[in-house]
Amino acid sequence: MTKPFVELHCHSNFSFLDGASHPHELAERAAELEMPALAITDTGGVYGAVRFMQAARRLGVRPLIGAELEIDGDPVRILARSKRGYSQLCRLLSHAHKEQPKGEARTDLATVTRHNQDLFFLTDTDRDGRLAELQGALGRDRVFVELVNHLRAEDSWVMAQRAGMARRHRAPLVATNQVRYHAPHRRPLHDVLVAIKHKASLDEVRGQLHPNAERGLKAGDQLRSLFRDYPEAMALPFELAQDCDFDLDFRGVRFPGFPVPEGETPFSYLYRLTQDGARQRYHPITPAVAQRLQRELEVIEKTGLAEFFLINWDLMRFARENGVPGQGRGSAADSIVAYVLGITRVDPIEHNLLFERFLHEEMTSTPDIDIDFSTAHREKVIQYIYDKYGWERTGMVCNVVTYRPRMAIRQVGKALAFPPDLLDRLAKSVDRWFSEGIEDSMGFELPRDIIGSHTWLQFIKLCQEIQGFPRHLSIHVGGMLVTGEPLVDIVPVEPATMEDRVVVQFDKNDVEDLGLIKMDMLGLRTLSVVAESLEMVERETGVRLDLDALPLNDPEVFEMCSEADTIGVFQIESRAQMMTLPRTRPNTFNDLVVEVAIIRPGPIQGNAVHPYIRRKQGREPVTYPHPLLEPILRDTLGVILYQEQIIEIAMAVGGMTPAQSDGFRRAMTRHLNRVEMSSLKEGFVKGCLANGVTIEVAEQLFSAVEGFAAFGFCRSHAAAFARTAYETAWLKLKHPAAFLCGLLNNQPMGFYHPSVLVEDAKRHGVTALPVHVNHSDVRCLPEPGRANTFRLGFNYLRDLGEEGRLAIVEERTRTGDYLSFTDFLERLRGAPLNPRAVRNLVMVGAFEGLGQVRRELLWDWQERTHGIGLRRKLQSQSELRLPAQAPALPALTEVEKTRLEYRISEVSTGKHLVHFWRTRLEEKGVVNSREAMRVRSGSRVRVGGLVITRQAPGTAQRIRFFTLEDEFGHVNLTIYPDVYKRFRREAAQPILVVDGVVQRQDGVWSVLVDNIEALSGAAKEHSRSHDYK
Amino acid sequence: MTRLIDPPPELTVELDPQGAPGRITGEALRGDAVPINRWLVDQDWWDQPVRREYWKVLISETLLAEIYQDLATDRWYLERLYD
Repeated sequence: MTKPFVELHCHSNFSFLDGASHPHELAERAAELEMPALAITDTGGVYGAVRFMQAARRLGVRPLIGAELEIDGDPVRILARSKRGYSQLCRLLSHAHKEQPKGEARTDLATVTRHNQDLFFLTDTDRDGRLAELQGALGRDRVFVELVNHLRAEDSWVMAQRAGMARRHRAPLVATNQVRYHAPHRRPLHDVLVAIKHKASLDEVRGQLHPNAERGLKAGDQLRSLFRDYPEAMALPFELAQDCDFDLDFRGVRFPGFPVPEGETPFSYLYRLTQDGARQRYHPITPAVAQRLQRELEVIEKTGLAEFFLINWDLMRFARENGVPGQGRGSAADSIVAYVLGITRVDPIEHNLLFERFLHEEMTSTPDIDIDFSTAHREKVIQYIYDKYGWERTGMVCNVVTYRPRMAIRQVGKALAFPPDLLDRLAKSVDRWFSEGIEDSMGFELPRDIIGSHTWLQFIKLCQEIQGFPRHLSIHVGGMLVTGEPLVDIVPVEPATMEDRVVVQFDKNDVEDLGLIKMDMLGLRTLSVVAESLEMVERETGVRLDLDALPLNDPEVFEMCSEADTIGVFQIESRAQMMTLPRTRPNTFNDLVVEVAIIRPGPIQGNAVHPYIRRKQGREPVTYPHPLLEPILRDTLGVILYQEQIIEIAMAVGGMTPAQSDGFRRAMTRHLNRVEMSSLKEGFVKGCLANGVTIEVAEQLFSAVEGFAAFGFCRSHAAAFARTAYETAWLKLKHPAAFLCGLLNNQPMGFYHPSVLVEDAKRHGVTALPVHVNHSDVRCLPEPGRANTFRLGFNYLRDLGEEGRLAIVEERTRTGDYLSFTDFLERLRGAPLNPRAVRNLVMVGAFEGLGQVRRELLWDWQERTHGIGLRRKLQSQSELRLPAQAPALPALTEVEKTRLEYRISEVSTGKHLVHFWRTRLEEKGVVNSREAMRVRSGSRVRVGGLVITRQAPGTAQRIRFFTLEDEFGHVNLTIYPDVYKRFRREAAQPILVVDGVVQRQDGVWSVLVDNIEALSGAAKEHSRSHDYK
Repeated sequence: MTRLIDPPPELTVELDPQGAPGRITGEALRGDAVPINRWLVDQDWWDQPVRREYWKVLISETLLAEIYQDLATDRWYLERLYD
C-alpha cells in the first residue's frame, strides 16, 4: 500500500513576511488533504508552534515541530524527534539569536554539532562539499536531502542533479513542497509579503517572486506524479513523522522551586502563612472563615499549587516591604488564601466571592494571578523576580505585533505601487472610531479611476487578508515566565532591548496552554496616584492613612458617586458611567461592584442594564427565574451579571461539580453552534431534574443563563476594581488637592485631559496656583500651609525635561530662592535647559512672582544672550552684551496670559478659556452649562464650549457622544450619524456652538444635536479633547 | 541556439490520453509531439496577468520546440524553436 505523504517543510505566517497562512489554516488544510502529520518549520523560531500543535491535535493531524535556521549562510530545516530534540532546538535557536540584529538568527555548524541530539536536518543544498560537511558534522542518518518540484522549467533537471548528488553521498531523499501558504489563493499575499520585506513594489521585486502559485500545501496524490522517478522520496517523510512524536507538556517542571524553612514542605509552609494571615485579617476567625480556608487549602494541596501561591505571596511581600503599591485583580480575588496572604485586598467572605471561579480540583492549567503594580514601581518587582529565580529560569513573555488597518494600508499599498500621497491620505483617514472594514472606514471620496478598479479590489482583499498577520515580536511589559528547568530547554529566547533581559518566543496564551507559570504584573497608574496622594496627605497632616482599614460605607462617598461627581475616580469616570450613576444611585459597596461590572459593552448590548436600573429604582419588582436562584442573584436584584453566578447556578440547581460548573461557564461564554449548545442544555436540564426542578423551570433557567452568559463578568475582578474606585472617590472627597496632584503627576491616564481634571477641582473649591520659579516643585504638590490649594509643578511646563526640572529644584534647595531672572540664569549656567524651556518659563509667568514682567524679561534675555539655552555655556565675551533697557512693551492681557498657560502648561490655573469667549457666545444666544441644566426636557437649547471628549462606541450604531466644557461645568451631546455627516468638519474643531433638544431622565441630561457650528478664531492649540472609539 | 518567435503563432494541439500535447497542426509547426518537460508560469497577477502551461516537445523526432497554452483563453502558441 502506498504510504501517505507528509509535508516536512512548511512556513506559517510566523516566518514573518515569508509565509502567507496562519498555523491553524495549515493544520486545517492538512486535515482536508488527509495528511496524517505536518511539520511547521518557521524561520528562526517556534513562534507559531503552540497554536499549530493545538490546532493540529484537534484535527487529528500529528504536529511536527521544527524551524528553519541559517547555518553558515545556508538555510536548513531542523525537526525535533522527541522532547529532548525540542529542547536542543530551543537551545540552538537561542544561540542563533544572540548578537544578531533583532528578529534575525544565524549560526555555524560547529555550534549545531553541540546541540544536535534527537534532531533531523533537511537541506536543499546542491553542493557536494556542503552535503558532506553536514553529514560529517551531524551524522549521515540524520541529514536528508530535499527534492522540490514547483513546476518551474528547471525543476526536473535540478531534481535529477540533486538526487544524483544524494546517491553519491548515500544521503536519504525527502520530497517537500517548501510550503509558503495553505492554498494557492494566498499566493498574491505571499508576493506582497516579499515586496514588503524588500520595502519595494511588486514590479521592483518581480525577480524575487516565485514564477507560479505552486507553493501551497499539496496532497500526496498531487505530488506523486511530480516525483514519479523518486518514490522513496515520497515515502520517507511519513516514516520520519512516525519517528517524531511528543507533546509540549512542561507541567512537571513548571515551578522554579520555592525555598521553604527547614522541616517544612511548600504546603505546610503555605498552611502556616495562611493561618498567620487569617489571624491578622479576621478578628475573630469565624467558622465561615475557617471552613473556607480549609476548603481552599485542600484544593491547593490536591492540585499541587502550594509553590505557586508561595511565589505570589513572596512577590507581594517584597512589594509591601519596598513601598511598591500593588494588588491582585481578576479571579484571584475569589480566594481567601490569596486574601490572607496579602495578594488581593477584597474579603471574599464579606463580598460573597466564589472560589470555584478561580480554582477547582480538576483544573489542569495554572490559575491566573494578575497583579497590578504602580506603573512607576513595577520595574523594581520584575528585577526582584530575576534576582530571586535566576536569569536562567526567568524571561519576559513576548507579544506578537500584528497587522492593523493603518499598517496594512501603507504596506500593501506600497507593494501595489499606489502613489505615496494617496496612501498617506488613505492611512490617515482610517477613522479609528470604526473597525468594521477598511473600505467603510475611508474618510474621504476616492479618486474615481481607482475605486472599483481591479487593483483597488485586490488592494482591499489583500488588506483584509493581512489583518491579524504577525508582523514582529515585541515584549509583553508585565508578563514573566518562571520555570523549573532552564528556560532555553523549554522555549527559545531572544535578547530584549534592555540589557540582560530576554524575551521568550511564546506569548501569554502559549505559556498558559503549556501549563507553565506566568506572572502577570500589570501597570496600573491609579495605584501610583493613590500612593502619591497618600504621601502628600502624610506630609500635610503628619498622618499616614491606611486604606486597608478604610470602612467602605461612607454615605458622602456614595452620594458623590450618585451625583456622577466622579471625574478622576477609577473606573466610574467615563461618560457612560456618569450617565448611569444618577440612575442607579449606588449606596453600598456592593452596588459599586455592580456598577463596575455592568457598564460595559456586553451588558449594554444585552439589555441587562435597564432591568437592573428599573429594579434599583424600585420601578419594577425584583423577581427571580426560580426561588432556588434567590440567594445567588440577590446582590444583583435578580439579574445574572457575574460569571460566579453562572457557576453557582450550575452547582446549586444543575447539580454539577465545581469543575463541571466551571466548564459549563466557559462553554456558555463561547460562541457555540446549535449542536454543542443543545448538548450543554441536555446536561444542565438532566441535573436540574435530578434536583427536583421541573423540566419547564429547568429550560427556563437555561435560557436565562444563556442570555447573560455571553457578557458575564468576573465578580471578584469587579470587586477588586470597585475597592479602588471607592478609595479614589474617598480621596477626591476628603483630600481633593492631593488627589488632583496625584492624577496630574501620573498622566497619561484616565478618561480626561489634565485640564478637565484641573477645571473640575477648581469647581470643587480647589485653588490652582501657577508655576513659580521659587515655589513649584518638580511635580504638582499641595501648597504648604494653604488648605485646598495646589501648585502646578515644573512637570507641567512644555520643553523642560526631567533633568531640567531637577536642576532648577536642586539648585534652589542647595543655595536658596532665586532672586531674579538674572540670578536664575547665572546659577543655572550649564544646566540642561534648552532655549524653548527658558522662554516657556518666562512666558508662563514663572518669574512674575519676583515682580518681573514676562515680555520685558524675554526681550532682555534675547538681547543679552541671543536667547541661547543654558546647556551651552557662553563661549566668549563677545556673546555677552551689556544689559539694555527694554523698550516699553504692552503688558499681557488676561486672555493672553491664559492662552499662554494653556499652550505651555496645557491647563489654566486662572480662568477657564471659555470665559473669554463668553461675550461672543452670549451674542450668539448660547446659554451656559449651568443654565442649560435647568432647561426643560424637550425644549430647544443652544449650548457651547470646549470639546473635552468625542466618543463613537461600537455599541451605539455610529451615534457619537461629545462632551462640552465651559467655566461652569459640562454638557453631554448626542449626535446621530446623519447630523454628524453634515457637520463632520465643524465637529473636529475645538470650540463648538450647537443647537439641539434637551433630553432628561432621572437627573441625567444631554442635548440631542441637530446643528453644529465651530467658533471661529479658536485656535487648534486649544484642543483638549480625548477621542475614543 | 534557440529562436524566439515573436509574435507567437497560434497552434492547434490535440492532447494525448495523459493530457500532454500529442498532435500539433498549424502553419508554424506541425507533427507528432513527444513531451520532454512541462512547467507553469503564473505571474504579474497585479498588472497584466500571465498564466501559461508550457511544454517542451520533440516534434517528429527531430525538432525541439517550446509551446504553451494560455490558461485564460485555452489557446496554444509556439514560443521558441531549438535549432
